[in-house]
Amino acid sequence: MVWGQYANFQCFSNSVKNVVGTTEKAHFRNELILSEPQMDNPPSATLSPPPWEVLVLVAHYLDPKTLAIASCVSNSWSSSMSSDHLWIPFLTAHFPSLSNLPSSSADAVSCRRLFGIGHSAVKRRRKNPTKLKLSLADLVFAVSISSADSSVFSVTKSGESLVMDPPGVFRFDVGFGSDGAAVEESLKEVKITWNVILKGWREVFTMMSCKGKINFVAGAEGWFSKELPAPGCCSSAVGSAVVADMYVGLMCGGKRSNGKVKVNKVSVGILSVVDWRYISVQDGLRYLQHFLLT
Amino acid sequence: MELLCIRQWISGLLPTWLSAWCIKPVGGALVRQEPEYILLALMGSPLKKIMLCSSEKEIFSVEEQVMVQHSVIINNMIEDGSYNHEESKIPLDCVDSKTLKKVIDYCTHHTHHHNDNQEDLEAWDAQFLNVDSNGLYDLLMAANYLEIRNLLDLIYGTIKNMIKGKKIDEIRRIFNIKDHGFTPEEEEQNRKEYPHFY
Repeated sequence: MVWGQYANFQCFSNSVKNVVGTTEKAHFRNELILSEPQMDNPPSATLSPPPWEVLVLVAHYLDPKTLAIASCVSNSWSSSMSSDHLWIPFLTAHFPSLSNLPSSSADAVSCRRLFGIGHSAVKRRRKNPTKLKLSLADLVFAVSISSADSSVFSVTKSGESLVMDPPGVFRFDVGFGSDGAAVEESLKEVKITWNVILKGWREVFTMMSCKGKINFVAGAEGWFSKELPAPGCCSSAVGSAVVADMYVGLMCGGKRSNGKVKVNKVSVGILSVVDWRYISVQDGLRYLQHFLLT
Repeated sequence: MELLCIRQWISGLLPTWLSAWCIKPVGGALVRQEPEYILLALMGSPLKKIMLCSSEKEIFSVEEQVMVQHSVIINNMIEDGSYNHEESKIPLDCVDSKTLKKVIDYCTHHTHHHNDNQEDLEAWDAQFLNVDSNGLYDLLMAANYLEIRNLLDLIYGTIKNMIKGKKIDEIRRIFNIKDHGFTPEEEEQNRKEYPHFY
């Protein structure tokens, strides 16, 4: 009978088409929220285990998380819900860098497993920063610049009086004006130190202790940096991406100083060498917290 | 009058749900169906009925518009032109009488009440799905066979809501799965891989 053949053929081809069609549309459909009337019935009384045809159809409609839940329910559910052809689209869409692994590895792995480990890898990489227990008010900054014969600049400043320059980043003005001694115009070798002290002399961390040269000419500037140790779990061979950074600005020593020069402005901060930006105040405090509070 | 004016006048006579039909899929492409032909077809026999034959050989008579609007399969069958309204009946060997009756019920309600507001329709849908589980699964298979998109979405959504966000034990209880069939090693591995599902 013509009708029968037509109907059966359509049935088969359309089941296949339907199954493929619903996969694409599943993510964009609005779900009908029918939870209240359905959930009021005691479910165990009315439902029976679904047959495999239903499972196969429903499997194409589910999102990755629900599919993963469903594949743990029972053996029969697992065989319908774990098949690679269901998981490959999710793997390619969410973790394209992992999607060539099933074919390239000699040791067979299911796409479902790959999706699971890809998902947990993202969570592990996205570390939350530690809780900040240190504040600027707990710190004292001590900066000194000295030449062979005299101290050119020396200041000890409490954290709360420090001025962020620019605001929001871990960079501070620690001295300006006419604090230091005037020095004759020359190129001098200097020793620079920057210590951060936990108030009450409980702990100290040396940010910078190095030698450098400053050309003592009015209007000159000097920049100094020293790599900081990594606050992590690795050995010292694994460096950090930050340096302690100091800026020294010089100016003319004034009318009475006979052409001598003195340090006008000193700023210190922690600079990231990855993107050449000063790190934020919170990150700077977290860094110091690791060395001062543990 | 120009042809364009005549067509606009005829389009104005058609009910809105039918005007939307003036663009319909034919052979995989979207083809604009001239409204005057639709009107003529309608004027011929306004409540044309078709016969659907269930697997138990029971015949159901349904308005053609109702089934054609919802079921892609039946729409294709009618459009091909090989369905003779006087003699033929469409055999649906995959669908039993009880389920076919439910499906016809759904399509008829949605055609006649499509202008109702969303909450009423949803409430009716919820009541409609208040069947025992075998009925639900049969409905799903029938909707899949007949390609009734909105009924399929409805049932998929319901089953998905039964699984989504629940713990494994709860799902086993809901679907009355007494024995999960995993070996102890498999169950252990599942628990290690997805601890938050248990």
